[in-house]
Amino acid sequence: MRSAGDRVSAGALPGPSEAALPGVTTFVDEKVVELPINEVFDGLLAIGRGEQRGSYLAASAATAMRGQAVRTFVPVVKGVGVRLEQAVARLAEYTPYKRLVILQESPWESRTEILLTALGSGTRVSTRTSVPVQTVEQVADMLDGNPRGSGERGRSGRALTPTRRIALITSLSGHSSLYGRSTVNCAKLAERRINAESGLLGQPVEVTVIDDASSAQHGLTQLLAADARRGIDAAVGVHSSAIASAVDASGWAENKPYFYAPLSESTLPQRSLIAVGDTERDQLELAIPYLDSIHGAGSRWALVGSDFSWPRAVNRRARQLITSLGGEVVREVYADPETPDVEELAREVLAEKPDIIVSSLVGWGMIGFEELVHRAGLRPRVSSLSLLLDECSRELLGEAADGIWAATSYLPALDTDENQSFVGEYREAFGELAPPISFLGEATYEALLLLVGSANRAGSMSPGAVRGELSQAHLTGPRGSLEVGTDGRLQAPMRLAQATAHGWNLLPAAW
Amino acid sequence: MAAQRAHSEDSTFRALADPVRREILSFVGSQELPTAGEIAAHFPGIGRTAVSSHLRILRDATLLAEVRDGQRRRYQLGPNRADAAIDFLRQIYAPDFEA
Repeated sequence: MRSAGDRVSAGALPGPSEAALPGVTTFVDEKVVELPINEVFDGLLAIGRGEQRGSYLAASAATAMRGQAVRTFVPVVKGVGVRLEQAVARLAEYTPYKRLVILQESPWESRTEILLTALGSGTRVSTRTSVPVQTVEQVADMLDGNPRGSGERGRSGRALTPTRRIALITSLSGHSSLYGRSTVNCAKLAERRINAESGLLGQPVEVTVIDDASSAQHGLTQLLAADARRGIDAAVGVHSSAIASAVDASGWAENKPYFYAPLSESTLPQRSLIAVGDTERDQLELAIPYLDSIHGAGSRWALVGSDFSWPRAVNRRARQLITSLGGEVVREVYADPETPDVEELAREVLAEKPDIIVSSLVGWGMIGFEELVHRAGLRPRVSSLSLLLDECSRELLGEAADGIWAATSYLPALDTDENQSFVGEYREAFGELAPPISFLGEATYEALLLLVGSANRAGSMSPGAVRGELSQAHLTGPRGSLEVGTDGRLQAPMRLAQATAHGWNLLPAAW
Repeated sequence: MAAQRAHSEDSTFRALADPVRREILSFVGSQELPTAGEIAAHFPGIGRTAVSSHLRILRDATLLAEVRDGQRRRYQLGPNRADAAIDFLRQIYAPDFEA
């Protein structure tokens, strides 16, 4: 076995998504492994399996296809010690038993090219990994444990002209990391649009990305640290309602506007937080009567969720609706969002022989659970409604997503002129191999526009003044022309859609 | 060159593997140039000698730097946080099929 590593500077890399990355550091490595080439290749890319592999470079994917989302395991420093976490990457190139190119999307961005060459009875493995400067900064911040908000900020620590900083608090690591990169990309598009228009109170906007690591305590600490060290003028949160509640209780949002973008429970405390996303009421009042109509009166429902406030609110409302329709809730179970035992969860739920499963599981727990239901061959008999199934998770699931129902106000396939130009702009900016647009990413884009628009009309950054302007807000975004309802949330038409292995079947709007 | 880099990687990971040292890094990052005494005072459960030993390991890994202030020694993060990050990334992106 021989090994050599070196660090070299590299110029711009080929491909649209890499070309956008300034200042790249490259790691080159070469090893000879005493295994035949096919075994080495199969060890590096497992198809249809999601388990942890021997090497950090190894990935698993639903199918081996260019552009396919793949899963990797990445060591992340969190609090004390290093933890191995599931992360999202993408297969950029694939030549069986010869070459792989993998683009890491979370927790950080990197591009790894792996070249295999037969050498006697063994295999020479040459790898070349390039990371943009933002990744080095992000990892340095992670290592020193006291970040100022990093990841996507400009190279100059201090802007030459006064800039308004809006923090994007989202999950690039942890259980909800699978939507993170799409969210960051959409925030960058919003930043670009805001700066191309009138900015925020006449000044340019800089979006500062903060990884909340899918943890309430971590997210809040990061926001406060970033504010103390760099100064944050406002924030948009795209994370679990557990983090939203921690921010709301902290009082931070009493002084600076904090827009909470994703779908969230209608009962979410909003002492100071401004929640603008869809509610569980919007989703369930559409989906539950429809699923009931498929299975008929007296159907058996199982409710499964991650154990925090949003899934519990979802299931409270689901139970009311199901009961009012004459259905029976045969099981209601919760899993630890951080370390869900999905096998136990699936056993408990499926033992009750439900007709319909309503899932408010988040992140990797949702992925693991749906894979088990698929593997059990139950899709033809059991309807699944997954409230957090978006384009990113659908792609990761591949065939395992086939048949799952979603209730959503945004899909990349949405046929509005505004959405077509939004998707076009996204692909132009980030390339064909960038992650798909999650409904959480689209919600981020709109929340940033809404925040800036409201502050500009108010002529103030005071949260009270900004909130006061919301009721008058009109927003033209990818979902069309929207208004804010009496509940303070954007009113977007909800649609029912059924996932397939490669896309969606969107039901007519009448449902 | 290779041996030197291996030493650097080892020292970074050895330094980061210890929870107390991670907490010391976090504390130093939150303060304006704390002295060794101030750091030790923040960790009352650990003896001054042990804190000194942790500080030395963090200095060796270049995760902390010493700043002389008259008779006192003050500490700051770095000097080479990017190098620590690059070492960390290098460990990840060097394939290890024997693991």
